[in-house]
Amino acid sequence: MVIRIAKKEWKEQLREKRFLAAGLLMVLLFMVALISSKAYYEKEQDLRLQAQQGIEENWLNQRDKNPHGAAHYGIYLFKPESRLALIDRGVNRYAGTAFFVEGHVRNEAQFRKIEDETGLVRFGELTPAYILITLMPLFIILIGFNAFTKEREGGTWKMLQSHNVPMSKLLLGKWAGVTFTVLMLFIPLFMLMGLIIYTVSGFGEFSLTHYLILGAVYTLYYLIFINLTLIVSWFSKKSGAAFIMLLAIWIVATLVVPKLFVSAAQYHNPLPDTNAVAEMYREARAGGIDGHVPSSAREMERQVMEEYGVDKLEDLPFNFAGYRLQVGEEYDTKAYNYVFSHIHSVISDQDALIRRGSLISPFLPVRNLSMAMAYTDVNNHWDFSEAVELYRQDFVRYLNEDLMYSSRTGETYLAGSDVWAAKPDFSYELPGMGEVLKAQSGNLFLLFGWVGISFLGLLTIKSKSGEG
Amino acid sequence: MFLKNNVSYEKTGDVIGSVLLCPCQLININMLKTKGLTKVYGSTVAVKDLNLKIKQGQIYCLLGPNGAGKTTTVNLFMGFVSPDEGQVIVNGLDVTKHTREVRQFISYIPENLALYPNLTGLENLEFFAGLSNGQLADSDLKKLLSEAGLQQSAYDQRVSGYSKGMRQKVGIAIALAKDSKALILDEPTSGLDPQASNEFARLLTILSVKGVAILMTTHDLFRARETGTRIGIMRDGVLRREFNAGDVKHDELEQVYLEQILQNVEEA
Repeated sequence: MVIRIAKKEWKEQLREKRFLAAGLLMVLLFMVALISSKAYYEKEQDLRLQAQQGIEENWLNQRDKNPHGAAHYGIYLFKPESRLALIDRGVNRYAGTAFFVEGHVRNEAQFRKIEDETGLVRFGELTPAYILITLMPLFIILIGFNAFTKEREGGTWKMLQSHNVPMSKLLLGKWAGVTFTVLMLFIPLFMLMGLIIYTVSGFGEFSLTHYLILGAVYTLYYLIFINLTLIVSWFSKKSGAAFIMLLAIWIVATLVVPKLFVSAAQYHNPLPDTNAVAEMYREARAGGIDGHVPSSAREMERQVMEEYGVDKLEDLPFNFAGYRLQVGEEYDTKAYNYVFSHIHSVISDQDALIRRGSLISPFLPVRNLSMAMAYTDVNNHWDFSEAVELYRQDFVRYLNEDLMYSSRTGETYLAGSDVWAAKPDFSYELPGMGEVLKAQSGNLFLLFGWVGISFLGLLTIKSKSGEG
Repeated sequence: MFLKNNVSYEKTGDVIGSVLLCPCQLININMLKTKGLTKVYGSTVAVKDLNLKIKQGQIYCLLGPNGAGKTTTVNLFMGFVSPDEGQVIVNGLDVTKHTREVRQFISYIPENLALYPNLTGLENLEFFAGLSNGQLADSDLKKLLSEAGLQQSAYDQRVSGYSKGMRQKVGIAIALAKDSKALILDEPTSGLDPQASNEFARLLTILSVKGVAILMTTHDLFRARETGTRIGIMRDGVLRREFNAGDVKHDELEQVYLEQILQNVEEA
């Protein structure tokens, strides 16, 4: 009986112009999003390759100079991306993916795409993830809002009753019918997306596990909306009322709650602005040695000369200027660690507040999980940012130590291409699945919680119908 | 030979479908019955102390003005609402206590037969028949539609394009598929043109000859007298008069019915 009802539902939906129009629009939008995303990343990949080659060549071909001067010359590092970033660009547009590595300064990522975009981007960027997370629930609502109300309004409710159709089977049949329709749209689109992403050349890695988990996350998310839609349809007397109620739920869940909680988080835990960060840095740096200002290191000069038993800096077995620059660099690092740990803590507090919104909307944990699987979430951005900072410290230390050990105090020393070529290599691997899942355990818990609650809601229908 | 609704039957042996048509062979039991049935909505008594008996093969036409309690009676028989007092008994079972069992051998056709508009007549029949009997062969389904008098060309048309008469025929086919012992119809002929109404009455007669007990509410005096074997007139929830259809002339029936309506208007 369940299969019979499900088949009937599906057949009805397929013949419904509303379904066909909405389905076609979804496919069209999805294809546009996918193709534009692919084109965007292919172009970015070309630019990134060119930039990397250019930066490498420029670094190697720079003129002979003081190694610390080379530290100021700096290099760029690019965040490696997973191919799943084609699905969900996450925070990359806002946070950027290119980091400038130089002496004294820990830079945040640069060249944020959002800076080049118009105000229209506020309405949501057309990416596959936007279609799958924001618009797909609307499609579900469109095909399921009248699942029960149409039976009441059309009079078939009594016909079903007169045929002894138990509520549990009707419910299961309706659920299966709507779910089947949703999956019939989602699975081919998702598979097509996988195929296209898989064939993108020279861009990141394709992790089948991440891809499948992403598919599972979206499927669970759709189950929540399918259940919600059926619950509202059951408790509504009229189809119009059900549709308006579901539309309101969709607006609140996908548009209002995310914006509201982000705004609340920014209000309660504001990130320091550029001036405040500069001030924090100045305070943290105060009293420390400035590698470029010899007068700030007089006491250290005295201690070092005493330690080495010499009377003049020139008698030290190394170039004291390099030593001073490195010590100054370490003060800079400490100050930046302080500033960034504060920023990190503010962002963590903001995240904690935003996560409370997940109790109202399943959109938030799903969005976070989607970004995490695509390695475009804040966690991944921080992870890479920390790796870049560690590398920056190595990079600057290498250059300062070259100055320190390749010359004596007072000598003019110019490093050459051999020094540039021997700089430390930067390597970064995207965190493994276990690490990602561990970081996302809260969001997974919330997602499963939503799924469980929505199924409990369906059971309420069964009990309200008198079947217990 | 006897003649009813232009259908002629041999008393012993005319066959429609696979059923031997022999009214004399029908068991004389009350298939549909109410005992002191009362239903109250707030301060309104919809049905009061109703005692009905409808035997196998009988077509009981329940007449009455709007608000007489006809539809409430139907809803009580179908178990859509529960009685406040009294009993509804179908095939010896109390509907309130055995709603599910009773619905297994009772079919229901509301005033506007509700079918799924995006499905064809055949698909609607397949769906509803399947709910009761499991999967039926396509040929069996078509045979049922044919027996119900639906044109073959309409089988695969979507029901959204059907007339009310065509929908009612699908409803009859659904009842035939269910092989029901009783059929409850709530004003099935309202809005039907005379020809469709005539065809519908013919189908009911066929079912009654098969032994199905039929309760039909209607405003149509002519159709009630032509189709019914027994006629009841309700007003204000009370069954005021009962006749054997063969014992009452049309003028007489009309007179009694108008008296009831007039009284209804005066009381209002």
